[in-house]
Amino acid sequence: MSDCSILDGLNARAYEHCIPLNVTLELTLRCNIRCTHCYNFDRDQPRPASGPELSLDEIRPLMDDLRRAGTLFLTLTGGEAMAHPRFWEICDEAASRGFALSVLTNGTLLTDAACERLARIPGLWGVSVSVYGAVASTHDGVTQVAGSFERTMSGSRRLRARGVRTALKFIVMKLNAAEVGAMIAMADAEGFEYAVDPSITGRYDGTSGSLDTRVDAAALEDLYKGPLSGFVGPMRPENPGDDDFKCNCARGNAAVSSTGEVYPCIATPLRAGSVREQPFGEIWGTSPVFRRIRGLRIADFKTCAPCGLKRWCRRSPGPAYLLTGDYTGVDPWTCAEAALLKQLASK
Amino acid sequence: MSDRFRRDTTLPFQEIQGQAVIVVPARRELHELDEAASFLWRQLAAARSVPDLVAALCGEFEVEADAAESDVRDFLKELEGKGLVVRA
Repeated sequence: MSDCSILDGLNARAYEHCIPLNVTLELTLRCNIRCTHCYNFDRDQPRPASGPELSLDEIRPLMDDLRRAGTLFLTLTGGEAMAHPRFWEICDEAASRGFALSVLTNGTLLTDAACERLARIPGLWGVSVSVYGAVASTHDGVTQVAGSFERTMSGSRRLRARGVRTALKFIVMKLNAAEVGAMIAMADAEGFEYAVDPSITGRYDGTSGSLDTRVDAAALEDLYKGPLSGFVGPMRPENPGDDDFKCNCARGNAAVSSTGEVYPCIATPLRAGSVREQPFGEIWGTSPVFRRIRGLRIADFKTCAPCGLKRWCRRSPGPAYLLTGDYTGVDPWTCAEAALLKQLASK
Repeated sequence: MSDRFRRDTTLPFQEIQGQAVIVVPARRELHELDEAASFLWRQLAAARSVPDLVAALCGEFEVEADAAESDVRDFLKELEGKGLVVRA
């Protein structure tokens, strides 16, 4: 059996039996860059008041709980995860417990020493680095920090040179839409794996300025006719069943915020409980929020259920929830994207 | 060369519904073990010899000692070859 099919099979079993195989742990909301599209909060404003971040003494028993609950793949994110003052200790704690560890980072802190240390972590499954342009002026325009592109790309190269699986994550927005082809060419030329994501969400703090950075319908059409043409295709069968339509949120996936809130995934800050009040395993097993999500049927997605675009729809609950406050809600941008994908595929 | 074996403790793994799943990040590999192999994997949390593992297998499953020893040796050969098990 291939590794891909084993992974697919594991995710299918996690979905069917509600095993939190994949958990994202947000270490901090602190960040050393100020991306215009950040979903945490508006980085041009002071950081909103929130509870203290989970301490290492709180993270250790959380990790033990996750192991008992069935988690194998643990992803550290932020803010900037590597900016957390105990980042390395947290990595060591994760590795010693047998997690396959991933790190999502902006890459600016990938110094020689950091890359060396990451490469020595047993169990490091991979590092995903966010990149917002093919040239410095574009990327730095998004991060609002001069020199960040150079640091991100040189750090990514250093890390990959040490044998760490390093993937570039391209977030597509107005500022870089014209460069997506060049971004992909850059990744191909240097041998990086990459992912491309044109979806931008609202923010945890309730502001929606991040949505102003989203590509409009015309730009999206140009992208899917051009550099993203390989991504045009159906997402699910013609008449999807309940399990074809839902994602792995609250079934195989979960997230824990920097203050201990438990979510169905990191992009959907729908509070199911807090690890400061209850062990993760209890929340996973008993939270009414998770039970409701697990029990949803297509018919519960009132707008989506009768829609003829379901086969083409890349709906993710996060953007819809942040926009409408409803897990089963709709983000019209996603509907427009589905219509476009259907139209392009029929040509 | 030691005649005792243990699992490589640096490798991520998890038991999913009683079956061990082992990850080899450096090679991007996933290995999923069946019920009996998962049982042996659990035994290898500490250093074990072939007779140790045969006795444990016979105690857990209805299997003759000769067949168990053959299974244990095949298991160790395969997992040592894949770098999942090392000599203690």
